[in-house]
Amino acid sequence: MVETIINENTIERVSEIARLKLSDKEKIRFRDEFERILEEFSIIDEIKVGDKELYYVVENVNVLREDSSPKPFNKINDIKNNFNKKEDEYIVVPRNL
Amino acid sequence: MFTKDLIDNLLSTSIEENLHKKSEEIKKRDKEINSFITLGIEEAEKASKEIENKIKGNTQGKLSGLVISIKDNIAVSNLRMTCGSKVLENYVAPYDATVTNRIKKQDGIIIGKCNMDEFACGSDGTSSYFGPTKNPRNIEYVPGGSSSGSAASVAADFCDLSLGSDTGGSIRCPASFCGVYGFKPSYGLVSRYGLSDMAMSLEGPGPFAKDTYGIALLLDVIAGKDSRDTVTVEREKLSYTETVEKFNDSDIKKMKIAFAKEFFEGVDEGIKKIILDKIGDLESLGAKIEEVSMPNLKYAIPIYYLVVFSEFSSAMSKFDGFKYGHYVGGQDIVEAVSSTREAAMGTEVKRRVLLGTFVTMEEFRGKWYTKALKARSVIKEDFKRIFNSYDLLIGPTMPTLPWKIGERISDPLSMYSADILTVSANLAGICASSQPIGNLKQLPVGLQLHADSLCESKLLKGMRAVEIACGGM
Amino acid sequence: MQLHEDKYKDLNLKIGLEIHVQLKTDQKIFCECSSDYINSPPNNNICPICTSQPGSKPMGVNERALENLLKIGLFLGCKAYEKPFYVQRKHYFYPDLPSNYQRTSQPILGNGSFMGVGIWEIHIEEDPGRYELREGKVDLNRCGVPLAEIVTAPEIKSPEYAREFLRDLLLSLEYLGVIRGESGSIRADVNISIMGGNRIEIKNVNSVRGVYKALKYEIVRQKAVLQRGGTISMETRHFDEASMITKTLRKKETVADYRYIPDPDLVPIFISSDRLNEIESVLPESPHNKKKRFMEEYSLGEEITDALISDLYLADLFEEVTSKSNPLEAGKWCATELKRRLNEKNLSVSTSKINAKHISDMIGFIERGELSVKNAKWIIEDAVDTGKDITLLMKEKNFYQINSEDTLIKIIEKVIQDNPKAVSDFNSGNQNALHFLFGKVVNETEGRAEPSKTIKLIREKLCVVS
Repeated sequence: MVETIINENTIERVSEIARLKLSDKEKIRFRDEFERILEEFSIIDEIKVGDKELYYVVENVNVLREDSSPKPFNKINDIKNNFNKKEDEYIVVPRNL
Repeated sequence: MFTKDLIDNLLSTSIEENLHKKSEEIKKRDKEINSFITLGIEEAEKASKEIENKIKGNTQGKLSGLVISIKDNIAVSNLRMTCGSKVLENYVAPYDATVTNRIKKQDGIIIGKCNMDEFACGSDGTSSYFGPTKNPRNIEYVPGGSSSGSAASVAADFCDLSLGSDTGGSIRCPASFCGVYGFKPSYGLVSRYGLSDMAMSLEGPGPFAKDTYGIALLLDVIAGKDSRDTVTVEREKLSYTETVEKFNDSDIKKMKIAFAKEFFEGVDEGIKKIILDKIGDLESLGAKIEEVSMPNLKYAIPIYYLVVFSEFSSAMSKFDGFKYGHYVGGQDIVEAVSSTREAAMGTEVKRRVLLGTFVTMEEFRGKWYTKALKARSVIKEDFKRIFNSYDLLIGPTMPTLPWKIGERISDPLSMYSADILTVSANLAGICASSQPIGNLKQLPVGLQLHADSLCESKLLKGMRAVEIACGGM
Repeated sequence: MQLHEDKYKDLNLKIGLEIHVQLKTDQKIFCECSSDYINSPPNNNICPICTSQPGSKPMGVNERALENLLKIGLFLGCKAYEKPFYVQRKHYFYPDLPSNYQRTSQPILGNGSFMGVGIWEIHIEEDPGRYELREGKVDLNRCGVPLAEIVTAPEIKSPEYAREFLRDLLLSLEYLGVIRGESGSIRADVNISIMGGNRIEIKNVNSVRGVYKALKYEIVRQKAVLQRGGTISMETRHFDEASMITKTLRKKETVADYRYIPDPDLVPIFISSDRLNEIESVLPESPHNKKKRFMEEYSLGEEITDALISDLYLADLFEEVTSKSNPLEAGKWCATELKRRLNEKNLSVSTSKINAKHISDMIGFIERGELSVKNAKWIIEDAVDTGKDITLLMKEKNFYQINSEDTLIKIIEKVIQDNPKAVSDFNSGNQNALHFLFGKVVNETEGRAEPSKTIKLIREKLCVVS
């Protein structure tokens, strides 16, 4: 049933895209688990489906918002207090030269 | 009508006393149970004084000073919001969730933030960075998850009501395991603004209580369209509490209740018996009971988890450490973010982020992500068919009793399979509930009801019927 | 444009642009913060939604942003698709993107054109914040400002055309009143391929001039590579404003899998044809329709018409002039001299001091023989710069042509007297002598002698003399 073979390279790529640094042990462990999980889940291939992809279970459409004069947030300092590194009101992050 | 009596009682005695009693209980026993991550006793005491004055002038809100605990993935401003994770260990919410706002407006007293499985990734309440929560009914056993602290705090009398969230059973499971009432509202009924949800198209906040009335009361306060969450819809134009109050025994004769055999496959024999007995009781009281089939139930877990993985990995992208949360830093922006995320996230969280990334990648998404979304309609249609002819679907909430803490090896697939009876409701967006109907080996057994989307009144009537059949109140 | 395209004829240039413009609104696209972020101190124009606090959710799309985008699309001749569209999440990690995904919609309108270049599609998205790479500083004020992204077909054939295209597009959008006009706030991703080779993408060029320079540089660079026997492989580059060259981005960043998913927090949007008709009915005339009408109504040639409609303010001015002057004259002067002068000074009709009265007055002077065509060019220059009344300028610059016969005859007689050789040359049959004498009269009058009358009078005088 398994058509998806997850090789080392795949785990490497996935962890890069997901910005998750993994130890070698973790890489091996996850690779093994993913193969088992996806093999188990490939049972969904059995289901006869139409073309419709169900993204939303509610029927709402067109929820638009009227543009009006701005309502500034009243606790901006509380947001800033959670910034990890600050300088002169900016958030400090590594440089990219 | 336990909760109703409680309110009447409060009105004649003291809000402050009720609060004080609760905080004393917490001091005494929560060290062991570990249902709270953050307490807000001071603010609660201040609020209680204000509400006391309102009661004197008879201007109090619907919640009249009842003590409420809130799951730690729902924002309460100026209190920590950790989502049970090291990632947000020191994050203080700068705003109130819509549900928090509504509770405060109706004079609920928020006593603290409840422990939970890390970022709601779990079904037993043992994966929190802040340590596992214990089941108040027997502290050697798991309380269920992911709203573990919410259920436990109600069961332990640390509060009168609680607010949790349900993605695939996260309210119903701990309600069942802790022996309390838990309710998963229809998707779109309750605003998710302020809920750090794990899977956006499946999840929503919902109430815990000790009885149907308590559920209806909190639901009346939190339900209804919100401009801050575009998926919210108009609620039924009636009062849930009135619906419950007006229901009487004779209404049971009008009910058409279905049960599906697939919902009993793989379920513990003892649990099966208790549930079937209760169904028999309802039949004796005049309800029409019939068997139906849900042939696609066996696909529910893969479909559910594939959707969860995809949405979860997207939801978790925001945690890079720059704006809030744990931060490790590094040479460059890639290094800094990768190390930060690696250091702060637990194993199950990492697992789901990686799997979610994988199944939405270009070369893999057709087989997994897209397929799951197409298959999801199949589950929704199954329920539609059943609710065309029936008011309710009845069955057990969990396939087993709570297990001992540490007993189950944390193998992901076996963890996931525990959700088999609860995930379908989330896939279809309908409402569902769990209520305690008895004990087995001295552990609580939960009975689950489902009703069609936005038919909360039907579901509440069903819960009331079961309550009556249990000889309750 | 012909000249420019000839220069690049053998290169088979294919240039396409993805242009981002900020839509004019009061609030941001998904929250109630102000979209006027420029004057705010860093990280002061923010809220839980645009900073992606845990639990926050986007509010419904700003209606005015969507309306302005629809205006752009309809104006450019695009059509809507017959089905609802989703806002999607485009995932990539970057410090200026608080969610580490950008909310960007599927195409909303498509299949239009502007200045002969196809418009493939237009969609709406949120602006990220600002990340100062060299300083390691992030300001989230701009997060959530609504953007329209306009994607063209790769039908632009030269850097010069790209520059003109962008300039005129921006003018049109300003004219429509749908964009924030602060300092030409556009950003463009530029795609170019030469001689049927691979496509190079240059990301995030921040000005019209930058687009021009980047393209010029790329052409030179790619030609050099090919000359050395190398090949151009598909890649993404970055344009450095300071040194005006393009550089490779690290290879890692060029392989992007955005893992698009429809945003579960935002329900689909459907634009009905009624709504579109409603909007279209209040739009100003589209360039396409205006072109057709100008050519029919005023009998203008295609080249003149194209020049006029590329700047809608200019087209309006032209029409105003036709209420007083001959359309062909009006068209000629507006499309050539006026437009040239505006471009030179990097002005548009709306930012210069020129108005319709200037042009119609000027044409009047020309028609009465009081202003020479040569001097008219100076008049236009001054009017653009100073806005002064034409009559005043005529006096100041002493441009009044001499066409009184008496005055001219006096001068002609003097010139004939002073240049006997020329006279005898003429009498010997040398026609050039006539022009020589004419030239002398022109000098004497500082260019103010009315040409045709002067020549006629000189001829008469010479024949009399002989």
